[in-house]
Amino acid sequence: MIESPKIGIFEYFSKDELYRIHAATLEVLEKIGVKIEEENALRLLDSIGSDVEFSKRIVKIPQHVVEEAIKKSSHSVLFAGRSKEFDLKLEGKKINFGLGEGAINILDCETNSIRPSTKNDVANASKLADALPTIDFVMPLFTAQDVAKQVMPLHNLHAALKNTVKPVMVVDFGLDANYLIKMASTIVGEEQKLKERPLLGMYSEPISPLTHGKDHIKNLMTFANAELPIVYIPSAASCSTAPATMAGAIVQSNAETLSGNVIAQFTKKGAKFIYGADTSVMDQRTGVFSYGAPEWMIVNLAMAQLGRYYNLPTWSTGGCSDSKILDGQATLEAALSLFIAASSGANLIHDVGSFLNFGLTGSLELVTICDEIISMISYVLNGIEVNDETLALDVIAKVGPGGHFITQKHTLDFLRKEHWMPTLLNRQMRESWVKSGSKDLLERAREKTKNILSSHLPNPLPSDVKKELDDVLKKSEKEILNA
Amino acid sequence: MVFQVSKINTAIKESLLTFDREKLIEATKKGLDEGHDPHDLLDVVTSSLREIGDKFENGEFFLAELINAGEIAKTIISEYLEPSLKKSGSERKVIGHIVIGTVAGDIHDIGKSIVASMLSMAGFEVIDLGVDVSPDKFVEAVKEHSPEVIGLSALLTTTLPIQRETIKALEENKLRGQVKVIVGGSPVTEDWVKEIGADGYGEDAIEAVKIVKRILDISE
Repeated sequence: MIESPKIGIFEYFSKDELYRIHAATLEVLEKIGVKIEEENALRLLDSIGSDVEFSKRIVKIPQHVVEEAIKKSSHSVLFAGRSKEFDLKLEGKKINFGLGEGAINILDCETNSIRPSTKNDVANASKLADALPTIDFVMPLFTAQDVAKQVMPLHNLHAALKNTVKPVMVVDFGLDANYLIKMASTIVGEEQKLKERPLLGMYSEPISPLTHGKDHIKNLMTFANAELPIVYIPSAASCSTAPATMAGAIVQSNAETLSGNVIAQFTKKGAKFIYGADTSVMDQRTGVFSYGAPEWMIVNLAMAQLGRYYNLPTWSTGGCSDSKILDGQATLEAALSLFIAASSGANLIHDVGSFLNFGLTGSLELVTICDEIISMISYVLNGIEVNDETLALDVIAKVGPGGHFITQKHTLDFLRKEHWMPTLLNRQMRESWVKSGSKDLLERAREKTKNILSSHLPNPLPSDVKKELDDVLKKSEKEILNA
Repeated sequence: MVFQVSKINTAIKESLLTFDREKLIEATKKGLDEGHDPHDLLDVVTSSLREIGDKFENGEFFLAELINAGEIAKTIISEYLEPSLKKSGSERKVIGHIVIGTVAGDIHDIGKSIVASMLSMAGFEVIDLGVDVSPDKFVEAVKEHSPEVIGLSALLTTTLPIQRETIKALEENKLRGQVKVIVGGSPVTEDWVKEIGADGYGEDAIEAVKIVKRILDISE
């Protein structure tokens, strides 16, 4: 968590450019419109003065409605932990980091091979995220591939809730979000109490270009009414599901997420809407949706700046890669995307350590490496104190030319609080490094991950809560599979 | 009385572990005033330093803290414990004598000083000649102090050859046989050590102490 970055946050656009993007977005919504596959949402938008063509499900939303929705939004959103000390306040330039969710494979770093991920992997990812100090919110990283597909999202949430006290965010995967809410309610006792302790957030997506799917809009409305955090953002690919120009892709993404906010805010005033875009590029040689592309980094900078302009909490992406194995490419793309996302000032930065191989594979070791990267980035962005004591004139005078600072009290007073220390990166001299086994970053990350998984015990749920959670899972599972 | 001894010992140990010079001086003075055996107090200082060294090796303490502990221990030993030992007709047992300095033409001080500090912490008597020390000065110091080891530091690639010249000067004065030579500094390699006929080098200050102990056959 970076509570209040001292350094200037990256403002990517000039004011004029920002305004032109906003104006173009309003024009898209008012003149071209969006397609909404959900009847109730169409009627809702009709009732507030949008131009709805019911037969084609196309809605043209006037400027004043879009802007009114922005005004109705929550400008500060509480995303709660099971323990209060892990609560996140999504506002201003508070920067938080978390995993992603959606991988169907886990990368075995020892053999560089992959296997389908299981519910146990979800539990391990949540446990690791619970232990790592820089991870502020937990997404399950993997999906449980060893359970029935229709109920997989419930199992992901079940494993996450049991293994972390940090705020949990899950992808809806089109499953009725009421089931997710029911499960999270068991942690606080009843659904009503979730409003005070919103420890569950939902991630859902429109379908680019400019289409809102039925199940996702239903879930958006369900979460709006439940007053729980909603991340509703497009994953558009420039050159395929969005224009080739980045400015055009940003305008379209903005129209998609802002029209989602209109539905959310007119469903429930003050809906906990989190704004952003996971928009990247379709690679022109392979056709893949790139996870390490600098185009995505531009989108991250753009959306954080636009989000601040609208005074909405923002979503971003970092710590992921296009590599097939955990190698130099993976750590390079992870580090750069994390640094760009953090210096955009976004409130929730997700996908940490995951999504190798175009979002299909996750790596626990990359999560561990990203913890070190985030720790370094936080140290830099938190800035330094500049005052009489830190300017150190007295001690500079005391030592004078020649001599050294090692035995000065000033040095002892500051060396621990002023400096960053690595926990994973190695600074040994070559001979000592050779003596201690010549371990590279990957091997050290593997050891650290193993140690955490074998020693960290997440604060357990009280036994009655655990039983209730298990019961709700079983009951929901039955309902869904028998339907 | 037993209680009192342990109280002073605890105070000495605690002040060393918190790098508190004033508290350490106060505790040592009190210990001597109350008639404690300076040998016993010295043992506490030595064992505390060993503990600090262990804590450094396992990452708990930082380098500057290690050096500071060594420096304040040195003050206590030279200004309070040694004079008290001398008064009672006894003296501090050291495990060896070392003359150290940065070679002629080089005024880089810090690496050599850290090594000196580590050696002194390990129980050696260290005679630090400072920086820009000519081969002649090293020869004089060996004659005067009869150390078991001399340490030649050089940070610059261009001053490395002075380490060779210093060894030659020792040979010319027929002193090479009575003293071991260790060399140090970033550009020093194992090959260089062999080439100039030195007895050893350490990659860092911790390693330097180990090397000195090894060539003098002192057990860890």
